[in-house]
Amino acid sequence: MNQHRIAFIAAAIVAAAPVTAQDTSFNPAISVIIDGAYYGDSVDGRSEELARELDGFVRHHGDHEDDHDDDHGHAHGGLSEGFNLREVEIAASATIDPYFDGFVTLAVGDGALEIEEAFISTRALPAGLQLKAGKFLSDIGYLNKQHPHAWLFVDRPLMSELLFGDHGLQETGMQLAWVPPTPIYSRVGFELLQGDSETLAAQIEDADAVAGTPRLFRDRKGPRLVTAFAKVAPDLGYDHAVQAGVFAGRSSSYQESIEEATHFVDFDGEARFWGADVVYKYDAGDTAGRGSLVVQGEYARRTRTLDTQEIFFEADEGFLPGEASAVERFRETQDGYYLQAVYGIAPRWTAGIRLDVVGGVNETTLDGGESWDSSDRVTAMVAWMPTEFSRLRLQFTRGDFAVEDGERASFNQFFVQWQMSLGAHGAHAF
Amino acid sequence: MKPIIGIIVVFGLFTAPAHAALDVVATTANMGALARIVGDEHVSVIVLVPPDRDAHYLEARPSMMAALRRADVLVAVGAALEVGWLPAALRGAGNRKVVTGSRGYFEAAATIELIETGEVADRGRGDVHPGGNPHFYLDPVRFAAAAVALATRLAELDPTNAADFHANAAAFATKIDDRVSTWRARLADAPAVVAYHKDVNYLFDRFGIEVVGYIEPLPGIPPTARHLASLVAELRGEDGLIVHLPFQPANGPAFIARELGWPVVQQASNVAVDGGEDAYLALVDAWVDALGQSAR
Repeated sequence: MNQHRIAFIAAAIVAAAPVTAQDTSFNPAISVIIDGAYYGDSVDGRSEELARELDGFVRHHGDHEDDHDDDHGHAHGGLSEGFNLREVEIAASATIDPYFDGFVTLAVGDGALEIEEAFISTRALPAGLQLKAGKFLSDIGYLNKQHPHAWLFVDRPLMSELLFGDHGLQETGMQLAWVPPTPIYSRVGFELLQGDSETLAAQIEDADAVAGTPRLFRDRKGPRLVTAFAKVAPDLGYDHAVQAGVFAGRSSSYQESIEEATHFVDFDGEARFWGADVVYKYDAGDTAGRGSLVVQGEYARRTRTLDTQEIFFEADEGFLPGEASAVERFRETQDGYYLQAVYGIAPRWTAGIRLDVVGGVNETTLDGGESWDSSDRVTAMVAWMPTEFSRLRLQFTRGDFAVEDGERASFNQFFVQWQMSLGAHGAHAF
Repeated sequence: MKPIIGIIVVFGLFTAPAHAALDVVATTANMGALARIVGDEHVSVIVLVPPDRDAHYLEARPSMMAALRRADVLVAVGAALEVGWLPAALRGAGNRKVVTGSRGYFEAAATIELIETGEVADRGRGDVHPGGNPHFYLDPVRFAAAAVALATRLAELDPTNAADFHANAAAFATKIDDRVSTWRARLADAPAVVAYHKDVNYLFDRFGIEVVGYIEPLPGIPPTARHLASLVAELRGEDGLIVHLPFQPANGPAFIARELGWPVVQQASNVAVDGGEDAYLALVDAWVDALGQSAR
């Protein structure tokens, strides 16, 4: 019901907005993107769940009770077998005044309306400086700040999803970036962010003391997450372009709690990450993208340094209610990368392949130390773009995941995706 | 501290004006020619789109952003021609001197009268430009008018050379004026044309050449067999020319040519990236030759 109403309102907005090509009207440029998919896999629709149970990326519970899984069983943004309306993205942008541009992107999906981005950016700062403030997709890496409709595959790489979250690193805060006036393009910046990301800066709000014993969680005020990035792109003429980047970040607070039958297992500490990204594009100059090539790859590594303790609400393992185990400090490190290439096989047709690996480094120092296997995915896709406003994509994915402490799970996934862009459609960044 | 000073010195070298000229970034090669015609020795020009690319369908590239970052003036065609990439390139450049609305942002199409304005903004009719057809640059008269407008803008930005800018634009307008009657005479008996896209219409319009059809069924939509067949059926028995640009696929035009026995004219719509006044005049001459000599 709610979803229908929102979709109706969105349609009404589009219908009411006079579309002018010259951007001379004062109305924001509004676009609506419909993203749907037909989906199937070889494990009864559970393959997206498997991605949330990877060894090293998810703490396995001490005892495996099925009812625990229900807490996070419905994967956010996950697809069901059959037809799916993945999301409807409503984007509005406008120059606010001579000093600011504004951008808002709302996503409607799973019956919920979510603000993906809502930020302003300056247009009049001197010396190549730009300030951005609001909720936005971080500029770390290459893919992170792209909206789903700009991806070259149906889904985001595992690296992005597992190290930075379902939406990538999407935070509220500010960014200062600088483009120096050099013949070689480069852009450096840093971001001061609130720190509410599930994988890097998760916060436990109002954790109750157990029988009078306070919990491990230290209260740290925002902003809790700082990132920095640098990109450089030498001028390779009209046909070729390459951009390489490095990035790093630190979250001053990461908190997690697992409820077991008799006690909580609490975690509190900090997280750091760093990575590198590179993208190469060849523009063949041929009809509608034929012969053009995009090759991109990214690597990222995350380390969390955490204190952990068990705090009991029922007597167990020799502890009385309110008693806690000694605090143990440990470090866990996970990494991931992807490498992909997409080629224009014919006018308006592209084909691509992607290799996706997480957990090449996948270890913890907890309980004397442990390490797990890596998980990987290989993906192939073909896309047809009748015009720049519509796209149909066929994707096949073969996954081989390390789950359940050393078990492996393999699966196949099949997607037919349609993405349609209604109304104004803003220019995409490189 | 020392490395920081080093970095500042290095960037200082890059930013230090090597010459007093205005740094102009032109979106297309024709806009580059426009800037060179007006600015002459007082401008140095970087062109973002080479003549063998369709300025509709480019992607914002870092090299564009680097050029825009250091630009004093941006000379764009406008009328939404570059809307798919220029806004992103400007955002990536972060140069307040050339953002939309600034004195350094010049849209040539905004200074002249466009044709085909007021089309219904309905993408079911293809890639329409409700603000008007942006491809004005092949009409030499409008091109000269844009040169005069650009001279006024450059004069505001660099008052010391204002007299030169005005004189250059006026001299160019005179040259165009002198040639228009010759061009018109040579095209007086030019046949009707089937064009690929609406990107030569200003030239046709200026010299009274009738467009009897388009290879594209709708603007921006690739030709279909059905559409081409209906064009052939409609035009069979008549005389004419088929016109397309080098980056537009040749197979549709070739099919019509075979069926109707019409000659095909393949001609660039832009000068070379380093082209100026001579190159622009030669470009118009080449079009006039190609359209006029084919007359039967």
